[in-house]
Amino acid sequence: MAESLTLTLHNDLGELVRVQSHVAAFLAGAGASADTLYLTRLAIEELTSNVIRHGYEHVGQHIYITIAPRPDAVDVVIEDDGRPFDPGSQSDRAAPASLDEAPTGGMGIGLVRGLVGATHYDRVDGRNRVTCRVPR
Amino acid sequence: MSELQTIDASDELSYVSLKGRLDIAGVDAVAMPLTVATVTRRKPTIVDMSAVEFLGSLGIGMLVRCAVSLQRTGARFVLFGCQPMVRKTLETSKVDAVLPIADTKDAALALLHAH
Repeated sequence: MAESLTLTLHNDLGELVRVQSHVAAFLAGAGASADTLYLTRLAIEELTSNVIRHGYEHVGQHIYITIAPRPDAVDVVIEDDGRPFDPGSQSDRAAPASLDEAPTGGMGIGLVRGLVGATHYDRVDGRNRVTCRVPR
Repeated sequence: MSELQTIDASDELSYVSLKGRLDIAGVDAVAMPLTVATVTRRKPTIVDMSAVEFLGSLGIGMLVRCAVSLQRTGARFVLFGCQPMVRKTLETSKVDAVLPIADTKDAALALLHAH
């Protein structure tokens, strides 16, 4: 079983391209399926972009992403030293009644919850720590 | 990365295809070209999604904005050919309740003109 991968990025959306490239290569080496890669990309994209957009007032802080393959899942851990925020605290949206009511943003956490599963949140030593488990 | 290709730009129809990953970087690359190829033409529009490998929330937002803008001109915007995980992503977002999604091009064309 492949060891874990830990990546550090600045709270800058442009960093996600680099991160996703590393994650894809790592998971390919670990024999992950296309669906597992898709869901892992989604979890990282949505949870990390949320931190970058809402967790900091200024650019320059750091976010740490760890990918740990297990026999039946891939654990994704995202840690940041931004403002306290539990993504699980967001409630699910109802389906829109019309196209005008359809959301154009704010869907990310709902997608992770619906496609990957529940996220687990801790606030430890001034850091947010969000964990989710992507099935293999 | 992502790209957009215009397949048909007639007086009756806008027909485009999207390819690649509609993540943050991918949306940045195609959002404006998609708007130019669809919304500004104000024609009924079908979008071939069969080569889209990944769809994140930003990509969904981009598609919804195009659909809403076209609706205001009286034109429909229909997606077709989504890969299974992309289709699942759209269903999880619940946007599929109001954004037409077909399996095939012919079904998409039929939805364009359905009442």
